[in-house]
Amino acid sequence: MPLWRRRLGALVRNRTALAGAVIMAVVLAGITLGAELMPYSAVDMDFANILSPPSWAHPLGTDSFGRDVLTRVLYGGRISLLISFAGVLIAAAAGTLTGMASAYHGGLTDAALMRFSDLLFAFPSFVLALFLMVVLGFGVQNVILAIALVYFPIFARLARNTTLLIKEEPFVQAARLMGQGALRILFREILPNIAAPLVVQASVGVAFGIVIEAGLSFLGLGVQPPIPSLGVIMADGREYFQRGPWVLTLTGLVISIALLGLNLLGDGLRDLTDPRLRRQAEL
Amino acid sequence: MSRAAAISWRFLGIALTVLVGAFAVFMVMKAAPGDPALVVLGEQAPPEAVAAFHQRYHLDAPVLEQFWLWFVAALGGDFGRSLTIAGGTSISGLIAARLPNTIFIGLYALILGVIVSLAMGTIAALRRGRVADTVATSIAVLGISMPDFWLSYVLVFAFALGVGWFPSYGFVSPGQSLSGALYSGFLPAVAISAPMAAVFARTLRAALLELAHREFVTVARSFGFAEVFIFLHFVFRNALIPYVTVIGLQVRYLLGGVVVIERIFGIAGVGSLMVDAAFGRDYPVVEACAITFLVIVLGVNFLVDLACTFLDPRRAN
Amino acid sequence: MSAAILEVRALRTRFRAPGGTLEAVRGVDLDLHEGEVLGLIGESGSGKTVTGLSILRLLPESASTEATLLRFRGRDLGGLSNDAFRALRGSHLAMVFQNPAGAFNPAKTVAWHLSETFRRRAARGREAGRREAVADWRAAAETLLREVGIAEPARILRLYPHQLSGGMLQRVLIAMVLALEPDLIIADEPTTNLDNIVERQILALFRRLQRKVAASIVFITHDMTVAAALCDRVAVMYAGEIVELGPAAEVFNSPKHPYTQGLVATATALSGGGRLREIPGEPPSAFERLPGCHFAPRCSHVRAACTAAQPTMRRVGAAHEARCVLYD
Repeated sequence: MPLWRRRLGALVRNRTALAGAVIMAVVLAGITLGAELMPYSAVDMDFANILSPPSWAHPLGTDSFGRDVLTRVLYGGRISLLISFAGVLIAAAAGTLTGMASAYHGGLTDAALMRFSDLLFAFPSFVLALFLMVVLGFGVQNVILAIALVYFPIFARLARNTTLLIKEEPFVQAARLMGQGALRILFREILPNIAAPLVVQASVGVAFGIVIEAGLSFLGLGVQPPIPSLGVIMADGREYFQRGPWVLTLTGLVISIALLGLNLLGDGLRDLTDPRLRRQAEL
Repeated sequence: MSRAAAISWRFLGIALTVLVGAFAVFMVMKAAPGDPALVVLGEQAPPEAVAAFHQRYHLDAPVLEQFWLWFVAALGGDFGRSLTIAGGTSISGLIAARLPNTIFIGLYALILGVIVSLAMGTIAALRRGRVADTVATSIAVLGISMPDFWLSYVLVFAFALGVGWFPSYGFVSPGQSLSGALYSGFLPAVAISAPMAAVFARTLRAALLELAHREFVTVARSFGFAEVFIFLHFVFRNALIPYVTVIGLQVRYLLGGVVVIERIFGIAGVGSLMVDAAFGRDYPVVEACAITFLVIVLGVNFLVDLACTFLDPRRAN
Repeated sequence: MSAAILEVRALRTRFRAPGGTLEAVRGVDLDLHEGEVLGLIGESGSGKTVTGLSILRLLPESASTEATLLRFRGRDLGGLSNDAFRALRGSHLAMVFQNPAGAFNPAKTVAWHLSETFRRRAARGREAGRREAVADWRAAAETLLREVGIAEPARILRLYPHQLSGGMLQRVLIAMVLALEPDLIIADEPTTNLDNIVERQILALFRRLQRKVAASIVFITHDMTVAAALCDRVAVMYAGEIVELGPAAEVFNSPKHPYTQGLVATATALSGGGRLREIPGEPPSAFERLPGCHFAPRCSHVRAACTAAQPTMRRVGAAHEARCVLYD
């Protein structure tokens, strides 16, 4: 049986990963198709229906402008997920390259790069993101950049440490002896072998990236209205929390479900790819 | 190297990191758009006023010199003055007034998180595979999946607006009244601690389970030691090492949570100060807050490291 | 022949594993007499370690052990509750483990390990109704450490396990077992993980101590020469059962079971005599259950009767038995 089918089989048998995958599938379906299928608009106001509680017509109720919350959440989910994903992707790419290069060359380069990475890491994530928003200005692009910078050191460290482990393996030494260039070795020999923990970290990162974006936008320092990211919707809901608690509460609930899916998926992936755990499971 | 020497080296490393961090913060801030003079004096300010402002605050000097002046002053406890949000007030005064609140809430959340996670993690490990374990682990996964600011609203909705057991806003500083602080700080602390507790519990459970299979447990049993004794001294005692390490790692997220929660509950802490300063473009205050948080994180990491050297004899020398 | 301190009949141990049920011990009978050293010889996977662990009830929950008879000094062990059995462990029954580095609590000093052992020893006295308080355990500990060949006991006590070599740790472990003053010691390959020089020292130590303390020892090993040097009687294990049992000198000099013959030939060749002749093939996996003799696939004397049914033990000498149809 080909490797990918065996892996897929293992994924299905692992209940945690499966649950996570199912939740994520539902969430993704919702934000891609569901948003389009909803009869309501995310931005048009409907003053007849201001602040109506959840009902069959409006499963998540309406906000202070009469807009259907579910529709807004579906669109917002798309935006938040894209922002977080973009940020983590940039962090993963830059961080992995940096980490691999750092480990491969060692010496002063390694020390310098890791010091820089550690410095970034020494700031609390949200504080760093907040600081960056002040320096760069608010808005979607800068939120992506902020998330990228917050996650860069994590990927850099992880890539560096795993590369250090793989660097001494015989097949890498063999490639070196055969005269393969450093870049080729890094991408063809090392990268596939360190990919697994990076992917796990990425899934956790996207989850937390959503929280960072939501937090920043909630405070008004991230995505700016009228772009309806999840944080912006929650900031809205905060204005009239006592009159219409469902907006904030249910939006947060949707975020939590998405995070749950991501975390379960990440957990499951970790169970599957961690060789130590795999061996223990086989005993 | 003796323990004292190792600690001193560590300390030096931290001092160096603070210096470099402060430098980085300062430099990055300088790159931010906008002229502080215009922010304070207004967009329409006449050029002479702007020039005078620049001169007064050394904004026309070379950047490195500006940093040096600022740093030297900071070492002496003077972080300059707030530009906009608290016009003219000494920043160190602002931070000094607010820091105790932030630390109180952070510590409160940490202690709650530790207590809950010790209980949950231990129960889950001891009753592995049974109902209690599944319940505990599920709660833990849920805990990690909730943004803490959302959780705080749920808590407020349920316990403050709902049954009215706790206040939904406002914070009594511990300086004024400890019991008041404990009471008004309960919901915020719970909100911050929930994701932390979840991570701690999972780590503890995994560590306990892994250690329970180690050979020294079988050996201890062969000596006829009681199960409780073996659990406490062999399993739990060694599980504390990864547990405490994770606490150190999570402090960064804890402080992040503090920032937003302070805003929601109206706690006068360094976090809410930073947010206010961010809106008001009060750059010196933002810088000072960022550095304060940096120092807190480094300080906590240092303490955690110290604890680990005591817990793990393999690291002592 | 002195009285039997340990009597085991039809000991079976099974493990629940993802691939099925694993039968590691398939019906072991043995007696250990007061003051004797019984060698339990076999290669990895023969079930010798599991036998030791089964007797002491130290197996994980996935294992199930049963025996028609399991008696210590005439007392039935099988019917004892786990708590009652625990009382026996560390007082009358003890074990020396194979991997000394993994046997200690990395967070505690050697001194802690020894003081807790002495406390256990004292507790046994209380359980027996007599107060045997060991007030000055440190002096007793230092004496014991010197007995096992540690030159500076006071310094060693202050150290942590990761600071000591394998040989030192094994000595400390033996000292701890001696501190318990047990009646029965199961030594599971105590020298396997040590280098040769240290191994010889530890074996010499065992000899000295056994004479002095007069404990009854089950000495588990894969090394035939070690067993020959140290043991009074030996039992050879293969695929979870005992295939030959008898006085050490007799089994070594005139092995009767084909497997033992192969082992002895290998041992003699290795120690300098003649060509090394391998026993062809591999032992059966613990999942397999062959209808007849488990050694038959590798045996050069195999005949029809071997695969027909499980062979029983046949008498081949005064106190010497072998599980082979050759000796009908």
